[in-house]
Amino acid sequence: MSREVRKLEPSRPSCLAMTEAIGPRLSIFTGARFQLRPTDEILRNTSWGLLAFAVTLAVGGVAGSSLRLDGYGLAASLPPAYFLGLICLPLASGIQWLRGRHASTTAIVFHVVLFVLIVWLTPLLLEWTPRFRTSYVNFGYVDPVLRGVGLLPDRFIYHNWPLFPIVMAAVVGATGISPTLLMAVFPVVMMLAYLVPLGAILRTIAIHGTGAGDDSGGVRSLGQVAWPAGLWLFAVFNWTSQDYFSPQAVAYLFFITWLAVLVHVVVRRAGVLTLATTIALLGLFSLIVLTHVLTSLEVLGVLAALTAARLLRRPTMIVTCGLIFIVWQLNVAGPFFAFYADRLQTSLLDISDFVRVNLGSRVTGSPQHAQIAELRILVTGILFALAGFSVLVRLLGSGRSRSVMFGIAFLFGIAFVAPASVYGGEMLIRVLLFSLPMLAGLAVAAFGTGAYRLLLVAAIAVMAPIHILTHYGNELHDYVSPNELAGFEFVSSSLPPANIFGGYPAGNFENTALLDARNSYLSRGVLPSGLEDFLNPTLHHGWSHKDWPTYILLSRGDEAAMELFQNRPGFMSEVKSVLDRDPAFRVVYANPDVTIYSWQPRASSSPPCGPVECAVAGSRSVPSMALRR
Amino acid sequence: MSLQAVAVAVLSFAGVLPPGHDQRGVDAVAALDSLWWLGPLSLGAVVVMVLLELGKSLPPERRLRRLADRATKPLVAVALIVVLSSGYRLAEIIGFVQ
Repeated sequence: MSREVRKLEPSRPSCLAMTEAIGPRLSIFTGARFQLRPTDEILRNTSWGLLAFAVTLAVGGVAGSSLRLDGYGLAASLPPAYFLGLICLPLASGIQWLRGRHASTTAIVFHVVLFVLIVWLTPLLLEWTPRFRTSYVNFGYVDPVLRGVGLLPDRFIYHNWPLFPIVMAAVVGATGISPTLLMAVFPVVMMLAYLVPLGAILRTIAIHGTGAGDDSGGVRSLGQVAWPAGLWLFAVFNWTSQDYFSPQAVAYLFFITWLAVLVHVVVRRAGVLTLATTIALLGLFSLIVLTHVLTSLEVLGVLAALTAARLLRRPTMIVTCGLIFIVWQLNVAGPFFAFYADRLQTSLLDISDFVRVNLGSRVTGSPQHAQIAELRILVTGILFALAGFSVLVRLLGSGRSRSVMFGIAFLFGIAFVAPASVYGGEMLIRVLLFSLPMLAGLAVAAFGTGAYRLLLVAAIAVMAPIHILTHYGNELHDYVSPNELAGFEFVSSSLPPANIFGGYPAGNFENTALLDARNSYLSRGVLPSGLEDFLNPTLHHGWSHKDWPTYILLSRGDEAAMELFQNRPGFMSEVKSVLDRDPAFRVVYANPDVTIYSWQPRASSSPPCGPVECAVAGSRSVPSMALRR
Repeated sequence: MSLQAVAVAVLSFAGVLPPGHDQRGVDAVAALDSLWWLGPLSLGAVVVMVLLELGKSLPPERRLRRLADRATKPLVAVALIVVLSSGYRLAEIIGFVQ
């Protein structure tokens, strides 16, 4: 007896074929028996042909493009053929799924990997510099370790959770890789790395989630070919850019790996931990605690939800993880909480503030930026709708299943922690990021329903080109030009020690132990930066080293930020014309994208603020945590 | 409260530190609060709880597993005290409680 007939065929046509055993010659659409082979061969070849067509269009499109940025980001740089190529890639996977249980998961995973390579490398091929300004700030945390200065938790926020700067300093030291190359390849490497544990999560949910029968192995069902659809959803709907060179990107890899272990425990082992899974969960959680505070909070939220739902049969695990978390925060990361106390007091668990900074204030700025923000919200809503609809179909069809209950409990745990925001307006983005693996898993739960399957493939195909808008919609600001890099180099090599106002992230990149920097385009509460901030950088900003010389930087990036986020396109030109005429400012460096002025304060320009005001102004000196995207 | 301050206090009172350090010792004692014991206790609690988790992961027939099961309630109680005390201390640092 072959392995395929170990299970009984369903007694009636089912809309939940995903995890049911299907005989070797059943059509996935009708349940009728017929010979698939000739059709299967045609579909297989068509899929490969479409893939070749898609890659040719997309790669050819990039090769024939040049960088042209506007308020919608990178989209204007790319020809229609490129976008058509992106549409055809998921369609190639869709044709594979038409083969039913004969679909090649290897081929579909290959399609996803190609999509990731094309989309994630496109900005690099057009720009030739590492994108995303906060990447440079995060290298600024690595730099003191590389230079032998060591960890300075009072000055650098992420030195309170120092695994990332230590590991990256070791990587740079051991390999000799340049910081810019490291930052340039980091996002695509991380994104590909995410797909590995994510594949394990999705496979477990799709194949093993619905009953003991599915676990007995062998039968190739639709569930076994459905899971790569989750990879597609993750790649297409992940517009968050949180894979840039950062502690949270590394912590997220730990998080998904931790989640893969947890899914295995809950779905396949009925929530019972073994020695190996215990060591894996505790070890990965400890690494997360050492890397990123918010990710560890999310883990605790998920653990609490799963324990409360009795899906994880080890109540002590949440206590142990909570203990590890709190011990680190209190005994090691204390400087952060003391430094950030004012902000935490006003924002922690404040729901109205949370909604305002995470949602309301995001849909502002230039009309194009507001449209991109609205598009992101819409796209995210579509993913939630797909997952919700899929769960509904699943629950109505077969009742509760362990994998679906796990997904719901997981999302509840993530949402529960959301108001514990310490990051200004980025928390909702991170909630989406943390939810994505499970949303993707839930969205493929009803893959066995033919109509839903078509809807899912259509949604992925439509969203694939839109991804360029949602992912790279802020590229006007996220792009760092070669001229700006030259300006950064001048700042780090010729100015220290110095206070740097503006030109973000020029003063946060290299030689950071001897540079103190303030971002000139961040609003002071509800007030945007004004000309007076440039004429007197001590007016609203506290500086740790008042004896250091102060420089004012005007850069292309600041101008883009003013235009995109504050809808003030001509403001930086106005500032430049004023500074050029003012004898207190002297140009010490200039190229088309960067102008650096030294500032000689007049006697009347001494800091007007008293100790309290200066302390409040100083509390804004948080380079990377409050950055607006 | 740092461990260094505790050490200075102890050494000063024991007469190990030279006279110049006496005032530092007094200051350190004055700075001691009711939660000074939290640092060392919490580190010990982490080690013990991790061992407890490993013990509870063993097969039921193992002696260490039975020991871990019996010790669960008292150890969790201690761990919860540490978590709550640390949370209180953190809230003090942030300024949620005075």
